[in-house]
Amino acid sequence: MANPMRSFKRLLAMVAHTDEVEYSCEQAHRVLDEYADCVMRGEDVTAMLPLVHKHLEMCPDCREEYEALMRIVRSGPLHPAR
Amino acid sequence: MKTEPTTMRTNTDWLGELQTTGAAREAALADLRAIVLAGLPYALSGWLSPADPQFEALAEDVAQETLLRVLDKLNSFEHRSHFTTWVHKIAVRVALTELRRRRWADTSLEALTAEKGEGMMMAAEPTPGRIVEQNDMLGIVQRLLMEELTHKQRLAMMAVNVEGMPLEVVAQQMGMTRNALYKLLHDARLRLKRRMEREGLTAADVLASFQ
Ligand SMILES: [Zn+2]
Repeated sequence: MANPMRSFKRLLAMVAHTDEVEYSCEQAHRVLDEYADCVMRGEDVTAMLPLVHKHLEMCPDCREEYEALMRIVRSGPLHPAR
Repeated sequence: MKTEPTTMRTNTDWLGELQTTGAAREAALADLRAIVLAGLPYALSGWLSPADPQFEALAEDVAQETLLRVLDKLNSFEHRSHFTTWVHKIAVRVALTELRRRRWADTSLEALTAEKGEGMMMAAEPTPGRIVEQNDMLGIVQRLLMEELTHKQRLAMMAVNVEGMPLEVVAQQMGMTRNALYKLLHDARLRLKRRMEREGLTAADVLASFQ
């Protein structure tokens, strides 16, 4: 059961961080693989793909999928050739 | 324990082999399937244990559906990642969609609203333990929610942000896509933010009063 006070605070924090323009789930999903590979290379994704980064902060579904994807790529052998 | 094939293909190799016919294509498909299956225990960690009797059947279904989607969308691969990362991304979407559906099968939005009513913020009820200022703030925010948002927006916000339901599940019950639901929630947050600014409040100020 969600703690209402905590949910309330989290919602307010989200409102405070809301931008006029945010990526939709489709836009974020389209480049999620690129984002994950950038993270693996240690690149600064907050600067390179800020809209994806922001979407992952705001969207629990996409965040879960990103985390699952990262668990896979982190488990893999050193990255295959491209 | 990894069963990942050791074949190292470049993105171009993958695309070439998957778009050809015959033995090369079959081999690429078999390897890709093994790669998807090898990734799933990691992806589903915290969702479904590989020891769970449901795991194997789910993994088979996910691998099957992923390969179909990959073949269908091959032309949309933009070469901005490793091909296998792109494939895993698709597998994750397929798997989590199914697991969310299962996990939330018994939760209906209708029941939720029947139970909680329109006032989505139970936290907004004045509580003696809280300082006056906090109760005032909660009251203000509650009023803004009622005045500024549509019924649909409040319902979606309650389900996603308070109850923690996945967007995907809520969207499906509301008869819209997850993408459209995200936009609806974004619009709701934006309206609240603007309204609070007009009222001379920022969400950060309100939050600060609860620190
Ligand atoms: Zn999303």
